[in-house]
Amino acid sequence: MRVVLAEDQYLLRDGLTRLLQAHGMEICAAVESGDELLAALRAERPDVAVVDIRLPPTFTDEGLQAALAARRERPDLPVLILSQHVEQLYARELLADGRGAVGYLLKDRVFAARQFVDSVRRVAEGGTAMDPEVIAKLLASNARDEPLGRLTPREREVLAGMAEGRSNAAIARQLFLSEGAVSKYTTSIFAKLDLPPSDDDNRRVRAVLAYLNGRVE
Amino acid sequence: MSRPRRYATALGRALVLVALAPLVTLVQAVMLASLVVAFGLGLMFVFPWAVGLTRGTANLARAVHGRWTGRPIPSPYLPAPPHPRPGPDGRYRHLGISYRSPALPEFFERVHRLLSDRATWRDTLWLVADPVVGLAMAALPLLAVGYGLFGMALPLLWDPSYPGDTLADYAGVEVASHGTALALVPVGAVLCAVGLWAGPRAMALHARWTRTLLAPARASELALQVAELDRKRTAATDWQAAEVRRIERDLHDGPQARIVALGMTVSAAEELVDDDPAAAKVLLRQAQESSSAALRELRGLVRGIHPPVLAERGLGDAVRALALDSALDVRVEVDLRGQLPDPVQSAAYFAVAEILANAGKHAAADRVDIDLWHRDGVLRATVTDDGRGGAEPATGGGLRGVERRIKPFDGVLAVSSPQGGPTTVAVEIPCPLGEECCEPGTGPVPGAGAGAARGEAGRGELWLTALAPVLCSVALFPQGLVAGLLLIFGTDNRSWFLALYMPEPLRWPTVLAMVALGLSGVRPLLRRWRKSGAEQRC
Repeated sequence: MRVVLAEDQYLLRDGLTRLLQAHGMEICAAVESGDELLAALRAERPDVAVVDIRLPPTFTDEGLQAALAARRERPDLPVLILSQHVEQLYARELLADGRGAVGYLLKDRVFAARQFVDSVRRVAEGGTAMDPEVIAKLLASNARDEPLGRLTPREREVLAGMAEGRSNAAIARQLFLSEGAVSKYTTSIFAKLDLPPSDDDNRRVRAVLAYLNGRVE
Repeated sequence: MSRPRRYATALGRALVLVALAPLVTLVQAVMLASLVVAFGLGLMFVFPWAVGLTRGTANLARAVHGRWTGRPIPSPYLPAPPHPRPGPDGRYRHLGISYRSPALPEFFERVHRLLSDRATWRDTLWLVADPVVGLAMAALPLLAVGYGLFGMALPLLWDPSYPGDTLADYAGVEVASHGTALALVPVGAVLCAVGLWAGPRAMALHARWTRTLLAPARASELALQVAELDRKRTAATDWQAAEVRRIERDLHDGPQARIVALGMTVSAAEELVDDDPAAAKVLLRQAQESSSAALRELRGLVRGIHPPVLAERGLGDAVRALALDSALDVRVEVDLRGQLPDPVQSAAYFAVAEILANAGKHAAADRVDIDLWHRDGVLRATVTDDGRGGAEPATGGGLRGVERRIKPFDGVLAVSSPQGGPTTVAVEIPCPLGEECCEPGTGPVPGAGAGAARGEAGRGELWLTALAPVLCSVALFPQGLVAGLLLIFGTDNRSWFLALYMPEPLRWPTVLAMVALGLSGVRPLLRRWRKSGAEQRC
């Protein structure tokens, strides 16, 4: 799996490179500015881009803008955004095209190495990886929503897991449930939210995110 | 106002000013006499009294003109000195002399303040000059109209049987026949028309003249501004120092403590790793959680200092992000083009955040509308909620905080919050958009331009406004036009018309030169009048 990495802090760039290489990924470019990122994405055509939002020269949202620009040129380009803070605003922009293959994680998620590498893989395969904090914010700002209010606490936990991009198996592991139970919860959640049922994990996640995303727009 | 009414009003006001002139003259006499008595004979006690009288008269003139022009003339006087305070021995000291009662030191202070106040001397100058200059401005149109009416009535009044066969001389011409009287009717009509035409203009000029001397001098205005800026700076630095202290405390109690604990946990794990790997693992997991918690706290702190979205996307998106995170139903309208200066963005962001938090906390609102726009060099934000209203900046701690935040930028906070709602809070911060205001220190100082525009007329202009109209109208009208008429009709009476004393070939050139001189002076005056008229309309 070929990865382009954009991160301006040397220590983190170096650590990420080692981590991903240790898990059998190939770092085809590790850059430190927005312009270099865009050039690398065009030249290397990687399987996934791991990008820090804030990059030189402006130290604003350079990384996000470069990633969004690259995705406009190549809509299926998987992008995983890393940041010191998460904003619903950015999550919504990333999810707006409804194609998936996006991730948005806090930088400290890198501590849990295996989970982080799983997220990179999931995004590369067209799935999503949303930080639990983003999902918590999305859920909170939809809290006054009538159908969401009808969910049981357990169903809300399963919904959050789905929105983060996890598969049924992963949710089951996390909540100490059987996969069968999770699948039952998902069916009832989809019924309550009036979403079309689907067996495909990715499509299911996208439906949930679109739901959370669309309500407040 | 209709034209006839405008002319009538102007003449009426001129009449009032003429009637006031004796009062001003009387006060002038009193003031000058008091100066002689106070400083010549040393009877100082009359001085404050005379200054009081002068100020009363000047305030009357200020009030009259403020009312007529719709632009109040502010009072220029320095505030009275503070009451003297007794020293530790219960006595009052003044210039090294100790007094038992505060009366004398207070009197000296007062006299000193009156003497050092520029306004005292400007008032005195006005007292001396106004009975001449001001009276001339007010009386000339009245005299022109009156004398013009008299001229138009000459043919009716002229009586050949009157002893001496002359009624009078009019405008320097001896009225010796019915024909001359008739010939003088147009002169009277022109005089009358000029008087009417000049009326409102003379009043505008008079207002300008009064404002020039009686409005606060530029120096007093600046002194007042300096005091205000000083107060604002103190408030801003106090607030900033408090913020820095808060951040220090938060760092100390939060992330710093966590990182210390983290280090201890890691070293404990290091000691255990050989003997009890399982326990070491547990400790390492704890360490990881500690570091996550420290990061979380740092993130919260950073948000309170300068939200990352604000740094990354600017004010518009930062407020949008705020709206998304809010539990309320918030709509945001943003109309900002160009770059706002960072400190202004930050102040506006926190102001809006605070108002939004208030709407959720105190007003029990469901829906909030935020409008953010920039026009004419002013950044405006309005936050409207559908809550229960009744918010007051005086009592609401949150709104107080908002006010403190925007004060250093000359920002204004306005609240409309009737009982039962809806509440609208508006924030205005003067600030130019674009590059020039991005560098700290290079931005225009708010209010400086306005102050200069309001500034006093210079001394040159004072003379121009006072003398030019008199000189020019004398040149244009009697010496130019009337002399021309007399040349046409032919008369032996040369009176005071310069042109008629000239040798024959130079008569007409003199008349034309007079007219030209008059017109040349009148043109800039006309422009000035038009300008001051426009100012008054504004």
